[in-house]
Amino acid sequence: MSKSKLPTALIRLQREYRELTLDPPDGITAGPVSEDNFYLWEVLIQGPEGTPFEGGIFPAEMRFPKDYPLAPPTMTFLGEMWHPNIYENGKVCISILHPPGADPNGYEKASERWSPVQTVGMILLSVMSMLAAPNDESPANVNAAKMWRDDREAYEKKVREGVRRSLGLDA
Amino acid sequence: MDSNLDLADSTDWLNTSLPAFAALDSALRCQVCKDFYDTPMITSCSHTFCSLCIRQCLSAEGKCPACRASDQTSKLRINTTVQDLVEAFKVARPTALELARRGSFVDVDAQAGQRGGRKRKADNSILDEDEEEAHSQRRKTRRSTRGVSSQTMPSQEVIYVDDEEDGGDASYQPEDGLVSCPICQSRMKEAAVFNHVENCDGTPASSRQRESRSGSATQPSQPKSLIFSRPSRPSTRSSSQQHIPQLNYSMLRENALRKKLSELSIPASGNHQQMARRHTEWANLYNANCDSSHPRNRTELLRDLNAWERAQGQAHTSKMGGVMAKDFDSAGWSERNKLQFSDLIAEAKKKRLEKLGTADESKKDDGEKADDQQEIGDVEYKSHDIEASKDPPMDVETIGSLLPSSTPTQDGSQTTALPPQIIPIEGTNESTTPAGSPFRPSSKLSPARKPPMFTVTERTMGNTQPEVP
Repeated sequence: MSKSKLPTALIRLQREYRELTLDPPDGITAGPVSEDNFYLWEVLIQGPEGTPFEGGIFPAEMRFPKDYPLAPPTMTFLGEMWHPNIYENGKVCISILHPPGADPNGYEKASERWSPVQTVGMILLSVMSMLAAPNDESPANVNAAKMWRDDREAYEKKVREGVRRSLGLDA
Repeated sequence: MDSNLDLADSTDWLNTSLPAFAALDSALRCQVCKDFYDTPMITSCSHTFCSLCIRQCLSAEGKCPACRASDQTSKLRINTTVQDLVEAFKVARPTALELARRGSFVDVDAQAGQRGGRKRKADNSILDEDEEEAHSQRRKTRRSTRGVSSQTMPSQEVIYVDDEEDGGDASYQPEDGLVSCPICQSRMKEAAVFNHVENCDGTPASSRQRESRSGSATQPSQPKSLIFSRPSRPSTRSSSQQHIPQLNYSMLRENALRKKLSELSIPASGNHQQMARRHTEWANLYNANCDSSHPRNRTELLRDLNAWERAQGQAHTSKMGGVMAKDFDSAGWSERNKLQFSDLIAEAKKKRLEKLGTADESKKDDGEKADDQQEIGDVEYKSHDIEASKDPPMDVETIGSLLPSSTPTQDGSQTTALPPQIIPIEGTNESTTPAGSPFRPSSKLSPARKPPMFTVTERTMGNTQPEVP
């Protein structure tokens, strides 16, 4: 009867934390910022190899709603990110983070969107593959999407500069 | 503490001698709550979840979380096989895990090869006792599927599996000198069969058959437990425990809904939306409890409902609770809702720009000016409230209902979105801020945020050091 002691969301988040700690996917670390608040996680994502993000380590935060896993968390990168699917304030716009009910952009298949069987690990893997392969159909950052489509070289250069800046190196 | 037990999960097996058990362990867990199935129910698309989990999902979305096929709670059926698997595994798990952990440094293959002979000769070491026990568990299961259980300490679960297995085993023939009807499988004297077949309506007399069969195939003590364990399920479900039907909340006025809640003797406070959500959750809890083979009493369910309500951050006892409370955690509040706040501000700003016809201002935060904020605060707060009540994510209705004006909303978002020059506005808003809660986030929040981030960074980065290009 563990369910009656703690909210479902908390139990599940603790489990996911454990799983991610003991069996972490490549290039991803994630966990609650403090043990007092399991609803706010800090995440580090390694830039996927073979992309302009390679070599970078990108901190982000994830916020979980109280009715998680019924509703999806939100994810926000804390540093600068030049990417078609990341808003300029760092918020990640990816279908797996959108509840099936609401389709603000009208292009996503229901099957790609959030469902309670999705996990933090799956979200982070999706975000990693999003870094490697942007979806320019409904960009969150229109300028980045334009650049990605029209001038790939400039886009990659800008991303690399951002990565170097985030690592404290001269661009 | 049992928090360890609570948090036991499939990764427990990873560094033991039985890593393959991780998959078994996780296969016996609900994909929604990641815990072992509690009253597993199967959907019409053949996916299994805890009764409460799937009810919550279906009442929120009406779709199966695994395949997104539409489904209804009324179509859920209990998956007793999975339930028995889970019960049996839960019993076996601690011993097996203990054994697997101790054996982690032993060569698994060699151990498996020698197990049979070596164990008999072994001394009375604890390891071997454990091994014996775990081993016998396994043997028991194997044996019971063959229907020849003769174990000294039979458990209910095993007997039940036994029974299930036999139920589908048409080739099994008890040696009682009778033959079975080809239609309903009832056993009778050979001479009576033809007469019987004429009148047989095809309803299998399975209960009678089961009793007689388990009586002949198992030990005398077992039919008793069988009789006790079997009928308990149908009886708890069909007797006094009627499922609570779903309501169409939009068809009910607030007072009618309130009456419904009172009839169910659950708290009937709050606005229409809060009551609707409470009713949904209560129906989920209650109906899941109806499915359960170990139903809990009403008091416990009410406690769960209360816990759920508190977890949702809108305890029914205090409608204005959160923001008005003296110890209200304003920093935490604005922190938690930062994203929504900044979205709302962005929204409001956009509208204002449209009004002014100056669409050239950039969306960027640094474009914001203190006087902008002030005006938005005065002019646009109504649209904030509307936005808030439309937006599905959590806590939003709390914002809508808790905040008569959107001033805290403003404060919250300014914390991170804006440089310090907005502090004067906070001053002006202070009078309307409930309980004078000290929203001083720009000074309070940012430092509070940073240090944890670094600790996490240091703690977790270890293996992912950046390779400097």
